[in-house]
Amino acid sequence: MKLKSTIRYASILSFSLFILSCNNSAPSDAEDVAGSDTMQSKEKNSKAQEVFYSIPSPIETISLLKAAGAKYNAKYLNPIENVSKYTSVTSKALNLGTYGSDLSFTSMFDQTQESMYYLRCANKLASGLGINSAFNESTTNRLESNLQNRDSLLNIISDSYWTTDAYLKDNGQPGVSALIVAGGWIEGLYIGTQIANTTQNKEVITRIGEQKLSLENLIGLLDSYKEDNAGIVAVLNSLNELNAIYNSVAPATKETQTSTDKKNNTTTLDNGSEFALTSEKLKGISDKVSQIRNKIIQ
Amino acid sequence: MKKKYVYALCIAMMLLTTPLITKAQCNTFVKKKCMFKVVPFTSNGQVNTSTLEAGKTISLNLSFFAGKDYRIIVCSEEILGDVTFKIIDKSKKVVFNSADNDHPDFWDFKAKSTQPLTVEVTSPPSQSTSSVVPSGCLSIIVGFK
Repeated sequence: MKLKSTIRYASILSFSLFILSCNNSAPSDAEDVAGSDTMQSKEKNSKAQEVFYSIPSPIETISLLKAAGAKYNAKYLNPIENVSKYTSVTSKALNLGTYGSDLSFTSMFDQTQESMYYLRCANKLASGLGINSAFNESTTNRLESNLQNRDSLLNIISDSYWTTDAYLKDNGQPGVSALIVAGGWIEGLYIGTQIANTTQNKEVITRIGEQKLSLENLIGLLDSYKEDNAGIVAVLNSLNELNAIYNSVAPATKETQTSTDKKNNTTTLDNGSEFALTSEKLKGISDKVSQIRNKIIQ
Repeated sequence: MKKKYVYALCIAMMLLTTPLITKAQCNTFVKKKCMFKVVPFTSNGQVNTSTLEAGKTISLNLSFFAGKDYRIIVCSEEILGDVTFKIIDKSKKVVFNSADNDHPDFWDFKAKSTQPLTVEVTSPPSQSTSSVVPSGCLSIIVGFK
């Protein structure tokens, strides 16, 4: 009798450990759950070294465009009416990225009313993904209290991105987080190409060329989860096509020169790389990113 | 006898949820002990947090844009000891090594040109004779302005 109960006890524990080992290698929902690994990282060959990929936030991308002379235009943004179209986890995640980027764009250009609209869109999609701690009522209140202070606005939005990323990783959904990052980056590049096409601003065009580096890291990030999620695979395929257009933009690798200004205690890094784009190349990138973006927001 | 099954299930549940709890605890640590260090820069909003074992290395690949100022913060729990970090460019040149600069936990710089860099973080090997390798939370935070 005692032996029987011990065997049953051991069986339950063994079965549970088996389930645990399965959980480490396969996601429970192949379509929408992006991965069982809780880190945005990938083991690297024999070194077993974890590798993270970081992509510039939409705030950083938009600030680069603004510094290059870009102007605000609402027609570049994903219409707020589209928010009710997004029902799958993949479309919610990608468009949370899209609306987050649009929110960064409106906030960067002091469009306060539009910022509140886009915050509501982000809130709706974040709630739909089970994220109640970011882009929420508290964020709205904080934004309303800081409408006249752009730096505070951008820090509040940045906090919401961090909270979203942390929540999804804490809950075993880093792939969903990667889709949000991808959606935000694609929208930022789309806005940039629209501005470039309209204005032919050389500095904006260079900034679009520089995004090749971010694209490589974004592909690395999504590649970590390509076997786990059909939504990621589709985005990854599109981004690989975009990367093929970008490929000839890569500047030669040069060693970085470091200089330190002791008076101001600042260090400057320079490797002399330039990312100028020909008009044909810009058109190719612009057409491709429009195609990818329109598929996401439709 | 039923009690034993309950115990077995409890142990199983603990095993199943431990990785997520550990991750959540790491992010709580980062939020409380690390995020404030990014000021006056703006965080890029991404969480690069891991539970690192003594003697192991993690790296972060990212790009930096001409004209922007950046802060790279490496924040870790005390149990990991003097964690060191290097900034390495695409030609494999070490641009900055915290071990040569009194082990600061952050580094500020200005990017004159746009370029990719890798942040490589290593925790010192364990000095303990115990077979249990110490591990702790570690986060790489990037801020810009």
